[in-house]
Amino acid sequence: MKANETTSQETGLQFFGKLSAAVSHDLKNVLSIINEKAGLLEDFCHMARQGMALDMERIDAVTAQVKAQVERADQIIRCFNRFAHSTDHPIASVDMGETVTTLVRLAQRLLAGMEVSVAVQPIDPPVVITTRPLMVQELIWAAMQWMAAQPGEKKAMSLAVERCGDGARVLIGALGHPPEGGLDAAFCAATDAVREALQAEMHLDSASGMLRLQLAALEPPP
Amino acid sequence: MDEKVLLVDDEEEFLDTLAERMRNRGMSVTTSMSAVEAIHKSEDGDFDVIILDLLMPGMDGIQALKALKEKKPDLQVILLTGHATVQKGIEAMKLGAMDLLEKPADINELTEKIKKAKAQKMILVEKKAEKKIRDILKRKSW
Repeated sequence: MKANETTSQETGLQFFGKLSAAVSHDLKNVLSIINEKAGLLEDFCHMARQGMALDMERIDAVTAQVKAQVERADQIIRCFNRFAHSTDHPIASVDMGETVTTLVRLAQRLLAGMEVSVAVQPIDPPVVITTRPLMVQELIWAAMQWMAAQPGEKKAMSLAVERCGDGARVLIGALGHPPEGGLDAAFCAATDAVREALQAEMHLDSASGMLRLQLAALEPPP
Repeated sequence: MDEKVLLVDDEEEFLDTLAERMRNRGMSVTTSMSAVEAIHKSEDGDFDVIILDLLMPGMDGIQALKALKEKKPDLQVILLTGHATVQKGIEAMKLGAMDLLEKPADINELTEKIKKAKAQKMILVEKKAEKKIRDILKRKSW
């Protein structure tokens, strides 16, 4: 293997690292807001000591905003905890709907950076398959990035999951501007190892512009 | 004399609350939720300093810093980041940022840096005025 080639373990780590960095940035933003709200309450106290009347409605509003940010941080950490636990077992039962929803939530800042909005279609009943939890997220993320990089003014994506025999199908659509041309060789090569490990196939439907990831059900561990 | 500040961040609650606290401290604050909007506002407004978030959707802080300094080289820019590294700091300074602060930022520290930024800008403006006068005197040979 050449020095500049990346192993699938390394790409998995890079993916985990990228999402972790995005989460840390999100949490920093939440802390910054809480910091400013606390500072504002301090300012009100200082002004009250100078003789200014306290606006109790305003104080109520600011404390409610702090609580909302705490709730926001809690949601982020819950999603991140779920994501972190996807490394517990190499092969496990995966609720695909929950996985996709968690992935999109965690990657929101990265998606915003690419100026992409993603709508996850409701998945009912749940689609649960035996697969590699971290790798399946890595593949879905790679596919979303590829779709987002396709030329087009408005970048809005849809994400859906369907049962397909014992396996599952993930459908990624670009709303408004489907990608032109086929899947490029570089993208296919970059996802080769992950697709092989997942026994996954990838197809781009040129008519609908939908990128389809077909995931086979893997053998559960003994 | 109140400092004129342009505050740029994509987190609206952070932006609004920090702006209010800065106004309570006597500063004149304009806000913007995107780098592109901030560049337009900086062309019209005569700001003493721009406080710029490093990581924003679309154009990020570093790209915005480059664009701002190209249009107004004397502009003082303070970058705010969730993760300040030495590498980022060096990159920002090379591009002409006055300083780099890590979030959450302490408002007293930020206020001190804003005052320094205004002082720095005034020095640059005075130097430019002196140079203009010297050039005029040279041409008129008085």
